[in-house]
Amino acid sequence: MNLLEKFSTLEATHDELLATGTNPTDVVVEQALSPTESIIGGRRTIMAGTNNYLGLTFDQTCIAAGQQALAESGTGTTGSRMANGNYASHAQLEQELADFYDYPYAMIFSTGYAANIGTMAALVGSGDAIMLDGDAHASLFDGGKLSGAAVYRFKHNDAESLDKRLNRLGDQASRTLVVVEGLYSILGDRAPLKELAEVTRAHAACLFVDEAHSLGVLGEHGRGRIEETGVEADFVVGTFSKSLGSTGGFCVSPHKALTLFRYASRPYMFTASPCPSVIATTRAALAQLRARPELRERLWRNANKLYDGLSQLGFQLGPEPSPVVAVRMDSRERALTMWQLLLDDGIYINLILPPAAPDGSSLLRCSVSAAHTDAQIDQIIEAFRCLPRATQ
Amino acid sequence: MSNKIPAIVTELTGLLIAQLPHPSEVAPETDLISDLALESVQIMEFIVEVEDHYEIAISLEALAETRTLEQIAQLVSNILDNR
Repeated sequence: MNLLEKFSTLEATHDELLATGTNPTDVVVEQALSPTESIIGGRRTIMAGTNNYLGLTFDQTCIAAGQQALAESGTGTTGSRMANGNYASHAQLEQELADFYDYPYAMIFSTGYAANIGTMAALVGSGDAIMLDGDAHASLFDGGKLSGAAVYRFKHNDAESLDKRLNRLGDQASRTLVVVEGLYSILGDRAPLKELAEVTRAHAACLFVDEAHSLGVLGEHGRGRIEETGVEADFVVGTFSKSLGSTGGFCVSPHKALTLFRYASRPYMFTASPCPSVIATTRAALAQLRARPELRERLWRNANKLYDGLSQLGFQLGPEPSPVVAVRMDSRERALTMWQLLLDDGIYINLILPPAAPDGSSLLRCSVSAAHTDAQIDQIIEAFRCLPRATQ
Repeated sequence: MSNKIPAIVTELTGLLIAQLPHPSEVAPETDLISDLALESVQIMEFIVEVEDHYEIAISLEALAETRTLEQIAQLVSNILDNR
């Protein structure tokens, strides 16, 4: 087999998708009009699949901060943090994140993906183990692979399953990183973090929590699932590309060892540092997140309204209301058709096909923003109401 | 091949059939991906059941080398022998 032959299966799947007349991976946003509206296919479309939880992408304070940084510091750093790309604003953002989480140490990365793989690969290695929640994001699996540690899975959100597996590792359990998410990105369900943390501590393992979808969403101050459950994790990782409306990622920790990751994390060392304008908008967005708890209140009002509305229509949804509202479809074909009908009706959501969904099912995934108006949420519900019902 | 393998294959077959979304014929050389068209998440769920059945831990990298029930049985047998 030559190097390119392995793509034939992928090509066949891609062709099959194109033959349906629907390609959800190739949607072009011709113009973003606001946090909740874009022009797609020449028409005004409500964006209900963007993870723009606090709706800060068009916040005037954030835009002004980014524009000022562009004018004052230029378009990019052209280097890594280890070389010429270490700007004062990077360190200021790290200090602000440490302060926000009330953890002593913080480190930023160029993407959320890099934060996950960079933290995991620096922390564990050959001879160590990683215990991953079964529904964990692909970046966490990739982090495990990059680390060289033995990677095991436990049943999703199941502390007993974790306990059994850590028991089976014997002495290696104390050299194990337990990796979970605060809020799961596909079904919108929360981790039973208190129980998982207790099991982790009982085995003297380390707890790593990815708060990508829970920063700004959960907890009294928006610090995520750790705040909501009162758990102190060993490493908390997150992204700037959802609630903070920019790009980048971070890790905060009570452990001083995090400061040494700067010399051990290849995804941190061997890439250009984030652009000054990105750092500036992220800092402004973090300040907004902290100063405006009403954004979180509005987000949850919208999330509950959409979840209740779709539930009343009889759709089978994720296990609990959250800003991620997943609608189960009974087949891949139906999911594709319904996704296209919604787009044609001016509603953009995410299409999740096997194997991306946790249980191999097909889903229409909505994500709600604080910036959605009541009328927009009503319009999304109405579009779902108009979908042809499945034949039983 | 260890003489334990056929017995493990029989047990694995039972575990797998209980989990299949639709009835299928399963043989030791059945390829979980190409013959049964299982998605990676379904294979992972099957492996979690296998781990609990034998009270072992199977790492993802060890699993990456297996595609058939017979190969998984060999892996299980190796882990049990090294315990």
